[in-house]
Amino acid sequence: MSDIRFFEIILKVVERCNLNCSYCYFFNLEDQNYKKHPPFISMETVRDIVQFLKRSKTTCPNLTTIRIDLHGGEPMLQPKSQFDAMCTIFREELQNDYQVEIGMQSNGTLVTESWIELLKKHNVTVGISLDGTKEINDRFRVDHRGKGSYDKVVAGLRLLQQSGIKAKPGILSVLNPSYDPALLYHHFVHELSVQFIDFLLPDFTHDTFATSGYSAEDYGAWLCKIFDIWTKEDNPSVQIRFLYTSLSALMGYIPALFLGGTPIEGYGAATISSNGLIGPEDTIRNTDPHIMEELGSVKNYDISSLMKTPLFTRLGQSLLRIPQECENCCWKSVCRGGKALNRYSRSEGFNKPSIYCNGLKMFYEKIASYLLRGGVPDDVLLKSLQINERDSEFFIGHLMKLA
Amino acid sequence: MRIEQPSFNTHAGTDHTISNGIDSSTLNTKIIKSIYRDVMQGNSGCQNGYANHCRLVFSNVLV
Repeated sequence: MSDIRFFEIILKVVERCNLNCSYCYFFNLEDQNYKKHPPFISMETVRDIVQFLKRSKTTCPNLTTIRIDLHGGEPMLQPKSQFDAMCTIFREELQNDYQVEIGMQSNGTLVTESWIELLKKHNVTVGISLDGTKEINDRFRVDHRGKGSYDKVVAGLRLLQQSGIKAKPGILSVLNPSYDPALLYHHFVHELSVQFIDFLLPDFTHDTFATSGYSAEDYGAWLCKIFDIWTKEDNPSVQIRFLYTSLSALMGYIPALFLGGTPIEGYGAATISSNGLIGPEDTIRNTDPHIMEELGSVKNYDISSLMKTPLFTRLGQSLLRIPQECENCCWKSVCRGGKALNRYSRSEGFNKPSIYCNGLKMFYEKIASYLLRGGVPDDVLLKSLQINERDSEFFIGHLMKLA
Repeated sequence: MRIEQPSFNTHAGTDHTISNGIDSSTLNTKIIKSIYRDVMQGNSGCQNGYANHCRLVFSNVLV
């Protein structure tokens, strides 16, 4: 039996892409197993996933919500008839057992009216990957001939926005300290009229961070700047996910875990490849090129037995454990050492603080100070951060000076 | 005003609400008020998709 209540599947419906973004963690980092996988998921694998979830009904009595993230590669390379059949099966077969959410992360270049009709039909939410203005985006997000993707992405985004689709598309953007945060904010919010944005810290590990060319403080300073821009405008209809959830966590509302992709009580996630292999959360793949092949087919499991496999047990234990260096950090209860991949090193596994540690400290200090100024009582902050009475006066005093 | 309450206990129906020790009437930015309101409406954590895998789709965008 398992206490999982919410289970998320990162489903590799297409393991090829019409773009060739140089930083792509799926195609252009260590794990190259996609080359051995079929380009498209088969309907047999879709049915195997349904059975995997149906089997879980008895072993996970508290499981209420299944979220399926259609992922790639580029999901819109999937034949539309297959997409239609796949979503129909997910909805019809699972609706009596669970609340089913389906989302798609797309590069946006292939959006058409017929895709929009299908997205509407199956109530699929869409996130678009875009790094910024044309000049910024087209540095890394290029096709296989090196041509920038911006024009096609924005055309796709506009189609989605004008379609009357129930869910407004959000933008995921990979953070680069060389980009002007004011320019990005203005472009996304005021020129592209996007309300839901997230800036993702790049997928570096301790072994690769030096190649970024930036320090943790550079990333932290960038996060602080975008936070200032966002809060100065003070428009709550614009949500920048990392900033919003970090504030929520400091207000004591959300266990901060997900901020770092670390496991939390009641939440489970797995990646399923186009060939039906099941493995852990997707970015972990670049810590070990064989990790996604260790468990075999989704046919062999239900969620409870998956969570009890040595791989998931091992990962769960190491990710839940806050790195020793973080033990005395005042932000540990919200940061928990940072995102799993950013904690990783070949020599110490996940036992080091995030490569972005110093930057994250700058950021958390900034937003905690903002909350105090914004009327959140200091004892709420102290409770969220689990700061003891002895240190509380110094801590609040320090934040008030910043405020 | 500081009133310690168990998490998510509310005093609905009065001129202000209290959740997780936060009195809504003391909040002075729209963003903080919005977060507070989301939580009061149950739109937090896994319920609105914030627990998503880091790369994933925004599910909190229903309008």
